[in-house]
Amino acid sequence: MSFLKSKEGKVLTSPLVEVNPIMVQTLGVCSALAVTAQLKPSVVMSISLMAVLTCSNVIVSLIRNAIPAKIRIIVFMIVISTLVALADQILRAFMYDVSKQLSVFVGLIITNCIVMGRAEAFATTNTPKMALYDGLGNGLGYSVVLCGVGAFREILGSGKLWGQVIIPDSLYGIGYVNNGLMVLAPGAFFLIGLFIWVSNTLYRSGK
Amino acid sequence: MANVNSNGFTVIFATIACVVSGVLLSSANLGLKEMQAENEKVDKQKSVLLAAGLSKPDDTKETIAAWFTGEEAKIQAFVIDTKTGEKTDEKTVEELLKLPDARMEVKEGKKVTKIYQVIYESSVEGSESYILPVVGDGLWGKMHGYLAVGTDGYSIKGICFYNHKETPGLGAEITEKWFTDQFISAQGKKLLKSSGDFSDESFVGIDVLKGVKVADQPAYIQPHAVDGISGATITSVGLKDMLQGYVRDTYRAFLNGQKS
Repeated sequence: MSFLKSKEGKVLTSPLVEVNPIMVQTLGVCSALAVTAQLKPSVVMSISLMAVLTCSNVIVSLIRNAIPAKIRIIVFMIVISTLVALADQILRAFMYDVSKQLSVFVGLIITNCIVMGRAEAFATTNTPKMALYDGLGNGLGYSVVLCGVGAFREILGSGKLWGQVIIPDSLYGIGYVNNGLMVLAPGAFFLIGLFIWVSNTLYRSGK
Repeated sequence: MANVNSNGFTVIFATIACVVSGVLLSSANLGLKEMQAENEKVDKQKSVLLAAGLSKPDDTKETIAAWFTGEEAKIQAFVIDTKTGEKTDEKTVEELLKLPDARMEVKEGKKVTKIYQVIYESSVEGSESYILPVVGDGLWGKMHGYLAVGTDGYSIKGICFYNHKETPGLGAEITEKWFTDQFISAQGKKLLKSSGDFSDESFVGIDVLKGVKVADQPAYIQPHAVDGISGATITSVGLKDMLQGYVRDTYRAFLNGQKS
């Protein structure tokens, strides 16, 4: 497990919980609210975000010494939106069903603060290799929270997981009802709040 | 690089970045356009089959296309004039599918004088129906779909949405089986209150209920209503307008001509 102890390993694993992009850096909360009513869209969003974040991190890192400081944010924006639009075009040509699934996510990825945040905070000052690990790590950290929230919201809100009914009828028979709040965006606020509370208690208490 | 922060280099860098990005995107768009259009066409045809209840899970591009083209084609498309409800001209399906949304407007000056609408007819034994393109306003954009209506002109045979921008998990539920299956429930959904009467009074369309369940409604409402989607009020209202107003305004004349 020496890799996990190395500098690269740290960059890859620390965003999972310690400096999680949603729970600690509070970035990307908008999309975490919008798409987590069910597990499936959460997973799709997680994968797309991870792909875009990793690529944009590497590209920004590759050209980091040439980017003029005055227009760096705009340059990040160009890199990110070109990547996303390109991916969208390719998906529509070769994997039409996937692209239909992604429809609204495309815009949400471009405006996701995590992508911009990691480009500005990490990729501009680190080598492409480190930026790659950072992109993967933060993508995973985002996925952990997104899928967690998505799973909880789908189970509590609609009694299903991945579209399959998992709360037995007998439970409804004795008076159990789905929590309608979980289907709506405020439900995600409460859940993310709880996630942050738990992570703070575990990793930050006494600091 | 001597000075990346000089004004000159900034301008050059910005220009290069824009040109590279522009060239990449436009060449991707041009190069892939044909494949994308083909995918969209197949997807539309699949939706027509879904609405008509003819789709199978193992359908491929070829089996889907076979319904529409060739000598064995079981699904015909034709154009109607929405004002009179009459068929207007003969065209091949290939030509019709190229039309945007398969809907054409003829304008004189700024006034719309005539609207033509392409519709499909299934001559498959046991599921003869007219498959009508429908459009409605969702929360984030237009919702496009097909509504299959029986040859009597008022009983619903199925519905399918193929292009929408609704929120996943909320408005996007319109494409889920539980929602679309409501339109093919056992007792059947009907556009008309009294059979064969296409007047304003009788042409009620399908209501999308919010806050109440169809099952709790009196029997005379049930054939004209489906359950809405929690958390998707705007989508539900748009659907209701589509299934009441749009269907009535666009297809009443045509459907009225079909009652047999």
